[in-house]
Amino acid sequence: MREPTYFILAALQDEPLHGYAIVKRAQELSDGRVRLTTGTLYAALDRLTGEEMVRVAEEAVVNGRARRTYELTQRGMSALTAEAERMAAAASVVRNRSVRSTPAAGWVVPA
Amino acid sequence: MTELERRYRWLLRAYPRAYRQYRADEMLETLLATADNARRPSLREAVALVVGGLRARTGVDRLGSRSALGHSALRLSALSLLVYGMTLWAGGPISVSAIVLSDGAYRPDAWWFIAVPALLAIALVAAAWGSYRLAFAAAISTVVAQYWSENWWDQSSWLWSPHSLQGAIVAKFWPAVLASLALLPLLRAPRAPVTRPWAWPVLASLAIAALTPNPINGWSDAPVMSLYAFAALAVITAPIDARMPIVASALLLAPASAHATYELYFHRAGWELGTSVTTILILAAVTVITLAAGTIAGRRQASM
Repeated sequence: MREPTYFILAALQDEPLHGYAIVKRAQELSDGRVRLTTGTLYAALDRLTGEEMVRVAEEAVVNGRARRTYELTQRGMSALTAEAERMAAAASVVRNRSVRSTPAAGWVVPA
Repeated sequence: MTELERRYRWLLRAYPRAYRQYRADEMLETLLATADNARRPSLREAVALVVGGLRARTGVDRLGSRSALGHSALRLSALSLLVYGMTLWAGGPISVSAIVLSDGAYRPDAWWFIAVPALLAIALVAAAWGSYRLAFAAAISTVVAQYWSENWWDQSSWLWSPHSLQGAIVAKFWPAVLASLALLPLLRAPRAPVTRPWAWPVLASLAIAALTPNPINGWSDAPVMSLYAFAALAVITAPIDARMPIVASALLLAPASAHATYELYFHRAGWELGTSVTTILILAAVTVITLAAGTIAGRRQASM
């Protein structure tokens, strides 16, 4: 799963959001790293809707324009959790190694 | 309507009409909310809208899996090769009509120049409608007809002989052969719904007639540079549609195979060569680079 897709799903895990709110939430969750353009966001939403990971929760008219709110499906939540666990397992390989390989006090590291 | 909204509406025209009817208002709302009082669309946003719109038009975003993308690339390669073959054989029916009108109907060698384009047309229409078995049968029949058209006068060489390479030294021999190979994996592929089957042959024929060396645009004797320009164009379009470099590399294989056969044929005959090995190697390298660009872009587009 690519990073923008991961953060779009992550943005929707707490509550249904509309397009602009997804952009802002994904930016916050990624510490400003993921800055979605509107074109990228809606291409991803089309694809995620097609894969039944996201669905339209509500359609409303705001300022005379259609506004859709999107929510995560059970399938989307499973995919997001699986990806988070995969990344956590990958991170633990490095974290656990750094703990194990820390030289004990009094050890002399050969030059 | 503000100036910014007007500009965004203009950029949204990159998307197909049906998509705009469903999405344009919603996208405009998001675009205006993220614009932060800017007077013009940012370059990043504008590029994303144009690329997204063109990708929505090609339909590549709807393909989903890597295998669906691969099958679609093979289908487009087969269609483009068949169109390319038809442009290379296009002069045949016209010249035969002129011969028949002036010399009478009995010219057995001339009828091949009608039979081959007719078989190519059947293969093209069948492939466009998703009837891959009929398309494959017609493409194979074209290969056989092309072979006989070169050797009809010598029945001893109707089966393979070194002389039978003679027909393969010209590019117009290869599109039907390569299209048959592209259609082969599609015979077992799950059948996908084919929408607007006329759209691709028409667009492909226009693009191929304009961009590849063929008798219609008078480039048939053009330097190989035109093929390199064609490959470069296909690589540039890879971010929009990963299938384009794959189709282009399939098309480039036709002149590359013809050059290689030319080399082999005249080398066997012990004649001086008109083509250098370097040209063939560069053409092969350009084909491989184009295919690699398509594969990389395809992996990226198929991943979520």
